[in-house]
Amino acid sequence: MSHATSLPLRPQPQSPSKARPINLRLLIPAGLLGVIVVIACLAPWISPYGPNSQDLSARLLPPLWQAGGSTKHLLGTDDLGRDILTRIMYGARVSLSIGAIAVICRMVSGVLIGLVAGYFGGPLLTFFMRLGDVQLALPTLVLAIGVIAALGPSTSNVILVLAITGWVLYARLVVSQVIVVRRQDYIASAQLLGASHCRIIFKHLLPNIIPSVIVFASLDLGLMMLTEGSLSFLGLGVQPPEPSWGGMAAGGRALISTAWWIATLPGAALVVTVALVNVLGEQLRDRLDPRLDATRSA
Amino acid sequence: MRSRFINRLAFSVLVMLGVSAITFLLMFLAGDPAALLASEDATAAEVEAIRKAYGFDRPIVVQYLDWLWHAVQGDLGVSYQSRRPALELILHALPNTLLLIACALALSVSTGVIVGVLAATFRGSRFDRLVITGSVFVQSLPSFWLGIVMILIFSATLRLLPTSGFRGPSYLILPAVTLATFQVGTFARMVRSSMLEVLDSDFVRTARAKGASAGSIVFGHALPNAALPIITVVGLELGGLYGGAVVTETVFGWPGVNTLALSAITSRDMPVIQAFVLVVGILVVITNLVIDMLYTILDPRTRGAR
Repeated sequence: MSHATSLPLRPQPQSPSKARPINLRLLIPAGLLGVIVVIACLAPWISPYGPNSQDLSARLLPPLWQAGGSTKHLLGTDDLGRDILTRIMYGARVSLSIGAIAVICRMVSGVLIGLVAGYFGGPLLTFFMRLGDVQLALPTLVLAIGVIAALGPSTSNVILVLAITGWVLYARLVVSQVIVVRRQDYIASAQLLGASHCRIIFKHLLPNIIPSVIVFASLDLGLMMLTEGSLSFLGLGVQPPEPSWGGMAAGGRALISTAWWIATLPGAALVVTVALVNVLGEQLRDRLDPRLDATRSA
Repeated sequence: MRSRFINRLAFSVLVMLGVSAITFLLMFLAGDPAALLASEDATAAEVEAIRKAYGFDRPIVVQYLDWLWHAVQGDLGVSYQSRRPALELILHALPNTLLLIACALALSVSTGVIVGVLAATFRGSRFDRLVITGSVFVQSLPSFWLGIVMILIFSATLRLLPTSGFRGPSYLILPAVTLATFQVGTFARMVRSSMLEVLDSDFVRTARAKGASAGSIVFGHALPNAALPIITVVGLELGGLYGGAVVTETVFGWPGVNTLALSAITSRDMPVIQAFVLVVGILVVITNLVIDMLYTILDPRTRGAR
C-alpha cells in the first residue's frame, strides 16, 4: 500500500461561487465514461456474439484494419474464435462493477470507522490507527496473494481483499478531518442541547467530510480497476472463461508475437477507462476540494 | 533526537508483531491446517493424528507464540511442495526482487526529479502542462499491459531485448522500465509541486535579488530543499513498488519472490506464502524506519521536534 502526494492542477479558485460556467474538462471525460458505462450495460444487445461463444472456423482473425481482417469481427478473434470486441464489452461490466463495489466497500467501512473512532477518540482511535499501520506495511497485492492463497481465487474474494486493504486510507482521511471539526463550537452546542452521539456523527460530522471523501473515492476508483485488472491477470481474480480485461491479457500473452491483439486490446480498454476516471477525479478535486492531497495506493 | 529514534524503533517492532500475527492467521483462513497437510484420502483418525503431531489442537494464542518463537529463529516451516525450509526458498529469490526494485526506483526517481525540476522551472509552459497531463496518463497504465506492449515492441517486433528470465543485465531493462513507469508520474508531480513551493519562498527571492544565476538558484538553492519530501514519497511508494513487482515479475518471468509466491498459490503451499508475506512486511517496515531516520538526520528542522 502506498501513497503519493500530488498537488492540485490549478490554483484554488478565487471565488468558489456556485454559478460557474460549464466546465468542458469535466463534461468531456464524464460523457465518454458515460458512453463506456452504457456500452457495458447494453453489451448483450449490441453484440451479435456471446462472450464465450466459440467459432473454431474463425480462429485468430486479426482486427479489421489488418490484412485478413473481417467486418464480422471488428477487433479480431482469439485462439478459440471468440470475438474480442464482444469480450471487451463484457469485460467492461466486470471491471466497472468490481471497481465500483470495491470502492463502495472501502469507503463505507473506512468512513464509518473513521467517524466513530475520530469522534470518540481514546483507545478506540489508537486501536484502529495502529491496526491501519500494520496493514499499510503489507502492500495490497502481497496481502491479496496471502488471502487468496488461503481462500481461493474468486470474484467475491477480490472484492473482499480490496475492501480490507483500503478502509485504512479512508479512515485516516476522515479521522484527520473529524478531529478538527469536533472541536468547533457548534458541535459543543449540539452536545449541550442533548443531541445523541449518533445524531452528532451523522448530522453534523458526516456532511463536513463528504466532499473530500467523494474526491478521494473518485481517485481511488481508477486504482481499484487497475488492481482488479492486475489480480485477474495474475489468475487471482475473475476466473476464465468469464471475460475480464486482466484475464484476457493473461490468456493472450503466449500468442503475443503471432496475434498481438488478443493480449493488448483488452488492456488498452482498461487504460482508456482508467485514464478517463482519473481525469474526472482530478477535475472533481479541483472543484470540490482543491486542498486535498490525493493519497493513492497500488 | 535519540528518544525519537527509540520511539520509532519501538513502533516498528510493534508493527512487525502485527504483521506476524496477520501472517500467522492466514494459515487458519485457509481452513483446517491438519486437513491441508493430510493426503486427500486420509481418514478422520489420520487427520486427528496429524493435528496432534503438529500441535494444531492447542489454543490459538499458544500456537501463535510457538510459531513466533520459531519464526524469530528463522524457522517458518517447510514447503509442502519442495520439502525445503520456506524461509530459505524466499531468501534465495529475494536478491533478484530487490535488484529489480532498486533499479526501478533509481530510474523513476532520477527521471521524476529531472522532469519535475524542468516543469517547475518553466512553470505554465507547454512542457509543464505536458508533464501534468502525462503524469495522469502514466498512472492509468496497468503494469501488465505496459509489460506486454514493451515485449511486443522491443522483443517480438524489434528483437532488441530478451522477453523473460534473468541471464544478464539486458534482461533487467524491460522489467525495470515497466516497474518504474507508474512511479515516474508520482515523483515528477511531487518534485514539481515541492520545487514550486521553494521557488516562491523568501530565501530564493533574496538569492534572486542578490543576482544569483538561474542555474545556481534552481540547483544550489531550490533543489536541495525541495529534495527532502522526495525521500518521504519514496517511503510511501515502496508498497506500490512491491505490488507492481508482483505483476512485473509475472510478465517477464523474473525469478523473484513474487513469482515464487504465485506458484505456491496453486499448490496452496501455505508456509511459503506465510514466509513471503512476513518477509515483505518486515522489509517495508524496516525501509520506512530507515527513511524516517534519514529524514530526521537530513532535515535540521525536525531535530528539535518530537
